[in-house]
Amino acid sequence: MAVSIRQQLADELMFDLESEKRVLSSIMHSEEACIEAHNSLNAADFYSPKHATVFELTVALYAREIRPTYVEVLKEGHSLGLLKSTRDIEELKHIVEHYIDDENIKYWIKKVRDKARVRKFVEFLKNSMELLHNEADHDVEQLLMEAEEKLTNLTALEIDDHVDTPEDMANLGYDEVERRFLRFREIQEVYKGVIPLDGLTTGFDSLNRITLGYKPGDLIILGAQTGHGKTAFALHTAKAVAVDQGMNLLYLNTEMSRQQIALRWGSILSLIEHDRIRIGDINENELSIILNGYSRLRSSGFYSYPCPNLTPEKTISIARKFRTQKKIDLMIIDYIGRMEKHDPRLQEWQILEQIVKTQKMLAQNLKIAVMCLVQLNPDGTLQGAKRMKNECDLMLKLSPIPKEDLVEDEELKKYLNPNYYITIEKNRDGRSGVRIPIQFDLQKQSMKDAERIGR
Amino acid sequence: MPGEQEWKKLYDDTATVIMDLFMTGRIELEELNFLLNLLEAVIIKQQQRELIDLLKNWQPAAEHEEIDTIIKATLLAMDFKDQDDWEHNLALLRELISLGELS
Repeated sequence: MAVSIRQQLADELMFDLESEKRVLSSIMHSEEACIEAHNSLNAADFYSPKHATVFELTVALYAREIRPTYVEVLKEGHSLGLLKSTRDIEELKHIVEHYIDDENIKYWIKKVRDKARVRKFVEFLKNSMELLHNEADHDVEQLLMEAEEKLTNLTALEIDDHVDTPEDMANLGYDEVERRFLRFREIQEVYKGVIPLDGLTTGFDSLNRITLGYKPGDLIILGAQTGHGKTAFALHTAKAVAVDQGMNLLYLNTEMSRQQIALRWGSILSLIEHDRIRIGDINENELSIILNGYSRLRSSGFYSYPCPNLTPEKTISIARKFRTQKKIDLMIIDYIGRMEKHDPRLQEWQILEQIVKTQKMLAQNLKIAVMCLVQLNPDGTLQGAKRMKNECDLMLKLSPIPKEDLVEDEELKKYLNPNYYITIEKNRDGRSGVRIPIQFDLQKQSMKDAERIGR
Repeated sequence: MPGEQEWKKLYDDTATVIMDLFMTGRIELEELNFLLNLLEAVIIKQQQRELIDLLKNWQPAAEHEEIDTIIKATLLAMDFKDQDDWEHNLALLRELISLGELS
């Protein structure tokens, strides 16, 4: 008896045939419900194989531009040999008689989908249990990481479809304009003309002015050639956001050890040459300055995750974890060219494109900014650049200023010792094609806007 | 006037009856298709009122069996998607049914 009650409870948890029938009935009675259900569900979401078959029939009909009414399903089912007896007809009629008010379709779809997700979750638990039983020597860390990835994949990249009505769009537009209007007045009255940021600081005043900062949902791509400051740019951003602004960020590094990253911070925070710190060639005063710098890091929002075998899936699970636990606002991936690639059939640029797409979805889902560092070819181009450009909101290039430019470019002469450009290749929210001269001190690992002479 | 649920039920019940008639061998495949298409046209697409009104006047009887056979053959051959063919057959049916009424 106890087993029977438990089984009944388990069944109630795993499926809801009533909801499945109501959704199918609605598909056959209302075209709007049909569109909604086809957009939100797939055959695997139905527990009953018969229900899954009826759903597939409706999908196949609609794909041929035939509205899947009960009559059309009867005709199609008969022509495919799926309806062989009056009993089959009765079963279909039993489904179709589960009428609902068409406007409630989303409610019933959600019930069907939720049960499907519960079944996937139970499957995940069963598989995990089997894995524990079958493998004698567990690498617990690896086991947990894999489990987390699988669990994340159950939920991570599901975006709720949302269609804006004309009213929604008008309200949103007015709210945005009003917000900007009020902010502009505030800028003039309170900030005396200095524009406050919409998102996180970029670490450069000139870049802040053009982009208004890195905003939630933004994907930022920074390209640079080997040895030309990718990690320095990442850590400069990290300093500006996590140390100076006090916001939380996650830094994923695929090629450097914990010690290497920690030592880089010594230079960045003390402005003492990295080579000297690395070999210990510093005096007591400098040691004290460095110690002081690390105390700022201690109270900052910088979370570091050195991960030589980083995969796109792992970035999802790690980002979700840190978003939930540490409320991160920015994730920096240094760099995506070194991520592990699983599909040997794909070309390098196709894999990079997939990674970038994943990161864009992640940024939107978690409402964080994601910065991906990519390696430029020796000629300064980027493999798959056009496709990457399509996906990202902001594409930046970091490159040394050519010597001839320093000699001939009159505009550059207005700056004090610029040696690098940040080029804005794409900016979804503002100007692009702009080159910002900066000073990059490779030894001190520091970057800053090039100062204008005579200001 | 029936409510929305009643219309749905009427449509479902009628479709089931038609399908049952076929499954139990009481109507042929072409009759099944005609009846289902007619049901779909009348209730879902809310078309073909003219045909329904015409059929209401059709009284099959032994004395004009030949005309009835032609009417039925015309009905079964009607293409619900071909407007020209439809109009042509509708005119033919109108003529045949009035012939039957006269005889």
